[in-house]
Formats: sequence, structure tokens, C-alpha cells
Amino acid sequence: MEEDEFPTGLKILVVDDDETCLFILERMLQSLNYQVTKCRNAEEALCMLREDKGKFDIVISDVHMLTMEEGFKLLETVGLEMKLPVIMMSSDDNHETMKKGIIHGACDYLVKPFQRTALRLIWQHVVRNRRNKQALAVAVAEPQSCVLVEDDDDDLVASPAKKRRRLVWTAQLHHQFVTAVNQLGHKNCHPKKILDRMQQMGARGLTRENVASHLQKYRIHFRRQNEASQNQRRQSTSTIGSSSREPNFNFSSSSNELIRLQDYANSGQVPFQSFTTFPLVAGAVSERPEPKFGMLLADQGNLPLDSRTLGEPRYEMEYQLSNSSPLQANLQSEIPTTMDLKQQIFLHEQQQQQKQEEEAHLQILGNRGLQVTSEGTSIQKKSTSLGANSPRVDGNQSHHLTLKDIAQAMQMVNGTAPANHDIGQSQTSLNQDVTECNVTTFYPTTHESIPCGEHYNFYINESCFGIPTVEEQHYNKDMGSIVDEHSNWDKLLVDDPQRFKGGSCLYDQPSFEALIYAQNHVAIDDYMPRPFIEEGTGLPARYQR
Amino acid sequence: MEVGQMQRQWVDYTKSLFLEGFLDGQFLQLQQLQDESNPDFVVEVVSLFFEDSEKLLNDLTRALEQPSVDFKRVDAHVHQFKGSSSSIGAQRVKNACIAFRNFCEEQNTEGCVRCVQQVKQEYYLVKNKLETLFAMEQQIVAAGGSIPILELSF
Repeated sequence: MEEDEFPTGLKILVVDDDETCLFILERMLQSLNYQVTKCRNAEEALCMLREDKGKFDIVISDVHMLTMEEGFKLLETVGLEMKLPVIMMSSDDNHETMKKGIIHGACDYLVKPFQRTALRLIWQHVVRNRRNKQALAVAVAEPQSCVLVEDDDDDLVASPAKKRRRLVWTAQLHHQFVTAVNQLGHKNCHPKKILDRMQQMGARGLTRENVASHLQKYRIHFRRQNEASQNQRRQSTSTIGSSSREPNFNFSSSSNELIRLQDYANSGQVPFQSFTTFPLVAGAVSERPEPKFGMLLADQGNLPLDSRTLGEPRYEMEYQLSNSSPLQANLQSEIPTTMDLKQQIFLHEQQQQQKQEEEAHLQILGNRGLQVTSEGTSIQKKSTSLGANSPRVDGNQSHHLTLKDIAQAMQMVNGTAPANHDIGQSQTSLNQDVTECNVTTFYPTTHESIPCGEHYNFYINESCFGIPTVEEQHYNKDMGSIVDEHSNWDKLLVDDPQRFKGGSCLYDQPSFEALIYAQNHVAIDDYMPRPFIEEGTGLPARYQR
Repeated sequence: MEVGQMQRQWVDYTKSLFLEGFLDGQFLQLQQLQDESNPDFVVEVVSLFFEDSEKLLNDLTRALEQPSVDFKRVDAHVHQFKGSSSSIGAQRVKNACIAFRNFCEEQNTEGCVRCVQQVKQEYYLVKNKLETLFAMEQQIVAAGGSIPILELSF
């Protein structure tokens, strides 16, 4: 008789009301160097098991003891209470019974009469059971650190949680990031090189993917800022000027940018000419943004710039867009509502948008803002409302943007129902709420040449989402800054060193696409370029993986 | 009779039991479990089987004699008998039990009664045979010989 590799002495409890079988089984197991204890019924078995939980390693039990149910009940109890592996046995080779056994948790089902060889390998059940228990224990103790996965043998093991862990871009990391970006310059602004530089500065725990995605967001940030500025330009003064701005702050989505730009505009320090490129936003933007901006500047001469303390992380503002008709009338110009900004990108991709469509979606979406809360700072933002739907909100209400809203908006904008891939992977997610739960604020760098906004990472359901883009970046050598093709924001900042040295800008709304991504729980690390690619253009080389 | 002869007789007899279907491969398993530390294992197991079976058959007969037969109970008994008989390799007994269970399912009292008879018959047959075999073994051992190792291929 060959010996098993498993250490001998495995303690087995055998339960069967048939004496003959019990005797044979005992002998068989003993011949395999297992330690065997016999008992004739379930009650006795449970008694022995409860007496000393460590007494047995495995239980082998007959199905039909007195009644069939008794066998299964014992099986379940042992599995639940003692968490021991249980092998069922029976002369019943009925498939249903076997299935029942497995369903009730038997780790094996032996049909009598079985041979000694069938028992040789039962030690494997013990090993497996122990491993599973260990894995479970680890997983329970440290849910963050590991996940239970099945390895090749279908055993549970605790393996380190995959790298889908959120990387939180702290202020420090971001500073390092921006510094690296600045140092490298536009042409060299590759994630790998950025990462290298950052690591030289002491950044740890970053992957190239982290950097790549952050870079994306960074670019988008600027682009959106620019778009916001575009919208502001076209906004009538009255609506903006009439806000009851208090220093303290609740700040609405895009209104912030609105105000800011006006501030900047007011300061008179922003020359129109510095705006060289503009986003392809709806039709309106594509032509002659400069003059508009100029107009805006001119119009905005009298905006009070009070205690707006740029540069403070807590900069918040309450911005109220009234429902007044001037606003409606001005919907022609892009009012930077939440969705509007988000739409910017989407629209840009589409390239063809009517202002009217914008109006329409503004009405739907304009009154939705997202409330974001910052981790480190307690910035509360309120949503503002446009349109007739809902009044301005006070207090910390969070407005939930649902994908349905997005879908509706898209519909209005495009005139067609959005395709699945546009609004996320599945239509079923349409009615889900998109809520943010975590926001990180970080501080701008004081690096002279780089305006670095304070901006948010939105975490929705633990997903940090970014904004897809396939935009090219243009590096403005003169300005020494990373300038998005469509962004003049940084130029503004650069040109106004007073304001923006160490200044901050708040940027709070996730884009449309970002929300979609978040909804899909796509980890930013996993981010792949989205299919919002214009016809005829491929992904720029650096975006290709 | 000298030992060698007794041994040959034993071998022939054992073979016939297998060939006639009284015993099956499971019996060989039992023989394999027998070793120096358990020299009488087979005899012990079979004796245990005989004991249990007597009880079982009595219960079975009584159950079928009831005015209203509890077929579930009858079936449970038969099931157990099937289990134990198959464990020791009493093939014909086992087969009789299988047939018996069908009648139980049909709740056919008459059929069951006939089956009980069948099972009993087979049981007493194999009991007889095994007892004979053990007696032969005892003789061999008494005469200073050892029980041959059977190598049967089926």
C-alpha cells in the first residue's frame, strides 16, 4: 500500500448508521494512516464535533441515516458551524441526491461501495478547506488589501487587490506633476518622462498609467476652462453681475469659472490677443471668439472683485443665475452650466451643433449642478438653476445628475437618441444616479510659468474618472506653459501673474464623458482613449497604447 | 488433506464464488484490507454483516406483514441492506435489493413480499458460501498453511 504524501494522522469523523459500512470505512481509512472516529448517527456526530472543534479535520457522512434529511442537515450544520469539509456517501447513486449533496455543501460525494483508492485523496479537501478559510479570513480582515480570487484549482486565495486602487493625487504629487510637465515642455510631455521626473522629485507609488490619466485630465481642465471663458464672454452682464456674491461660498459649477474670468477680465490684464485658439464649441465658438471675449471684457468693467481670494483653496462663490428672461435670451450664448461644459467636449467631437440645441439642453441640464465636497477642504457647492425647472438651491443639497439627463441632453443636442457607447456601456445604467463621493482639492503650484489650477478629481463610487480626449496639446513656448489647443485659461493665468501666481482656480464639474466613465466605474488607471474621435483623425501617437 | 491441497481447494472455491456472482470485486477490497495487523478483518466484517442482516431481514418481514405497509420504511430498510451487502461484495444480494426497491416504489405489497423472499434466499445462500470459505481458511491455518492471495482479474 502506497503512502500518501499528506502528513498522516488526519482526523476523520465517520458517520453512518450501517455498522458494516462503518467498520469497512474505518479499516480503509486506517490503512491510509488516517485517524478515524466512528459514530452511528448525526446527533452523536454533532456532539463530538461541538465538544472539540479542533478534534476533526474532515467528516464523512452517509446521506441516509434514519432519514435522508438527517444526512443533509448534518452536512449543513457541520459546514456552517465547524466549517469543516464534509464528504457525503451513499449507495444511492441517484443524480438528484448527489446534486443535493453538493448543493448542501458537500465537498465530495462518494457512491458506495467505494474502494480504498477513493479515500486516498480526501486529504485534499482538508487542504482546500483550510486555504479557503485562510483566504476568507484575510479578506475579511483587510477588505481593501485583497480580493478573493479563484486560482487554477478553483480554490479561493486572497490576492492583493489589483491596481484599481485609486491613486489620490495629492497637492504634493500634483506639484511634482506640474513641475515635471513644465520642465519637459509640451513636446516632451510624455507620461513616462513625467513619471521619471516625478520620481526624481520623490514621488512614489505612481505608475505610468496614473500619470497618463492625470495628464489627460490636466489637459481637459484647461480646455474646459477655456470653454468656460468662451461662454462667459457671450454672457450678458446683467445676469452675471446681479449675483449676490458673498465671499463665502457656495459655488456653483461653472459659475465659478464665469466669475473668475470676469475677474480676470476686470482686472484688465488680459489682452484679447492672447487668445489665439478657441474650442470648437457649437457653431458659435468657432468664429471669432476673440472679439467676443473682448466684448465681454468691455462689458464687464464693473464687476466687483471683492474678497474673492484667489489662491485660497477654500475659494468658493455663490453664483446665481436667475431665471430671468435675459438669461433665456442669452441662451444663445453659451452659459456655462454644468452640462454645458460637459457638452462642450461632446459637442466638440460632434463638431456640428446648433445654438438652439444648446439652449434646449441647457434648459434640461442647466439647473443641475453637482455638489462636490472636498476632502481636505470643505468646499460646498450649490447648484444653480437655470430654466424653469428648479430654483436655486441653498444648503448642501446634492443634485444628482443621472445618465438619463445626459441621454436626454444628448438627444436634444444631437437630435438622436444616444448610442450605447456614448452614454456608457449599457442602457440599464441610464437611471442610475451619478453621484460624487470624494473630491480632492489640491493647490496650484507656484511655479511661475505654469498656471496650475486647483482642481478636483471626482470620485464616483470610488471610480476616479477622467475625461477622454484626443486633443493635441500645444505648447506655448513663449508662455512657457502647457496650453491646450483650446484653452486660453492658462494664458490668462500666465498673463496675470499677480493673480495667478500661486493662484488657484476652481474647476468642479466633471465632464459629461467623465460622468459616463464614472458610471461605468472605469478606473482612471484603466482609461483608454474613448471613441470620441473625429472622423479622419487618428489618435495622436502618444495616446496610442 | 495436506495444506497445499487445501489451499488449492480454497482457491477454486473462491473463484467459483466470483464466477457464479455471489461475490464481486468489493470482496477483494476487503481481502486487501486484511494484513498482519488486521489478520481477521474479512471474517470480522462479514460476521458484522451477518448480524446486521438478520436484524434487517426481520424488520423487513415484519414491516411487510403490517396491515398497512409503510413502504417508505420498507424502502429504507432495503436501501440499507443494499448498502451493506454491496460493501462486502455480496453481489446477488445487492441485485435482489435493487429489484426489491422497484416494487417498493410501486408500492406493490405482493411484489415486495416476493422480493423479500428472494432477498432472504440470496442472503442465506451467500452466507452459507462464506461460512464454508471461512471454515476452509481455518483449516488451512490450523494445518500451518497460509491463505493464498487471490489474484483475480475480471
